[in-house]
Amino acid sequence: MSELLEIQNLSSGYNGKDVLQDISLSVGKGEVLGIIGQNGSGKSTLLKTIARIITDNAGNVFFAGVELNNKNTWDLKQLGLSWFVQGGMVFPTMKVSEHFEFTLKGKSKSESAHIKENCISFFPALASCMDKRGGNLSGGQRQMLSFAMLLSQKTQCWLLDEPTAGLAPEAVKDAVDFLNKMKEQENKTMILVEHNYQVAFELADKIAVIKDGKIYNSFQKTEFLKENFLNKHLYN
Amino acid sequence: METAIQILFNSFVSGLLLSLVAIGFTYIFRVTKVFHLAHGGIYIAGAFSCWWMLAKTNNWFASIAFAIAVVSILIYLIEKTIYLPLNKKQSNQSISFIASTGLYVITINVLALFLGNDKKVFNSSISGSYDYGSIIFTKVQLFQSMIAMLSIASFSIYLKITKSNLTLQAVSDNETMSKVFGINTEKARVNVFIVGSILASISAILKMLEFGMDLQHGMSITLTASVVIVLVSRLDIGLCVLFSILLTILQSTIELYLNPQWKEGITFLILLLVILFRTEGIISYNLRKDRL
Repeated sequence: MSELLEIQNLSSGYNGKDVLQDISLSVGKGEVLGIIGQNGSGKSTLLKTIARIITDNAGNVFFAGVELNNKNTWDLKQLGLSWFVQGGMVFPTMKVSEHFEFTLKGKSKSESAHIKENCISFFPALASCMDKRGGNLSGGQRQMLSFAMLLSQKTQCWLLDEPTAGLAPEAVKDAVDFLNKMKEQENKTMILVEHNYQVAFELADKIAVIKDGKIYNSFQKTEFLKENFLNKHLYN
Repeated sequence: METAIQILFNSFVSGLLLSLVAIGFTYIFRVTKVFHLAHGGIYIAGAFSCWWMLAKTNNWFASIAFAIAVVSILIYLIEKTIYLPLNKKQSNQSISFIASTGLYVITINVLALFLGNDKKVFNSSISGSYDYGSIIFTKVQLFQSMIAMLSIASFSIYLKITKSNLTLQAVSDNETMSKVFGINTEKARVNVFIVGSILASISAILKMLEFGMDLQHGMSITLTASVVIVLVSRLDIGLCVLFSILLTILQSTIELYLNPQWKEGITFLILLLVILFRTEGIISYNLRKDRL
């Protein structure tokens, strides 16, 4: 499997203080890398650094051979990389229909219609709330819209920052089903930061455990599905 | 009746001039989150640089182009050297407000240093009026309203053609997330500062045509424009114009029937009442509070 995203000796943090130290990871095309770890271990910081929200970093990140250190966050979509923001990708004052109009700006009418139709086919319930503003959506609707926004960006690699946080169990199941479909049908590459380890285990091909800003260990699917994995590798 | 019509007409013209400042101020505030008090300094800089160039060349076209260039360069430098670095450091709004207040004072001081403290007046060739009974429409007022409406329409068309309103709404809602959607937020910020400043300088030049202008006028009109920001919590040009006109009608009525000194006091009393009882503004998006 060729590597799509490579992280080399990455250190980064806030106000000159490193949260992540010397992280090296790689993700192949169509592969899902799960990142787990306890609160404050640096999981979200890792995604923010890849997404160039945090730019005070040492080391390199390469995406499809392109070094990201000299890129801005707004360049990443064009390169084929999307970041699923923790809490969802919803603009409170925009109507659902305007979200589509916004994200599909610059595309031809027929292409826009096709992408929108594809999104609605995954989330049919969105069709009935097109006139609702983002700030008035329920948790489930927000999640659907967020995934639709991610899907509409037509990017190859998704950085998912806790996409199931705060969702009811059925909505979590829907999210996992959707991400599984994307993995199987669209061959999407994903880096998935998750608090819900069951979700991470279900979706990931490999897991990296972050502890105190460092890679504590990494495992292939066959290993982390074994009994007592969490007790052995995360909680002690 | 005739008095009422005269008040309405005068307020309409003044309201249009105020709306040029308010539209820029609203867009800047909503998109960048900077309470850009230095807008008052930019307003004066626009009028004074036009006046200076006109005195040198006696060419209106060159003078207006010069004023637009001056305010564009000035606001570009302010954004790149002050506001954007503060934004990158994630400093809170009160810090950018203090910085903006400082910038206003510096701008006014520099203008006073080079051009003097005295009131500046254009040697306008537009004079005369149309009288209908006791109602008077001056030619300057008609010219002011025409240019103001043209400027507002141009800005609306610019937003429509470039489909920028949704982009600006997105940046206003969540700057970080807008970047993820591929929006160059730094460019959006610069654009909104420049367009807002050009609108303010057009308003200042038009205002100067009628009464002339002193250095203190910028702060007064910017504070009145800030009331519009609180009343209209949306990026909506039409509502900015409407509330600017309503505000000037109110001020003119107070001036005529009560006391001119109460004009600004009552305006800000209304602002305080709105803030107390409807913090989200009179016209706002009706959103769930837990999502705001």
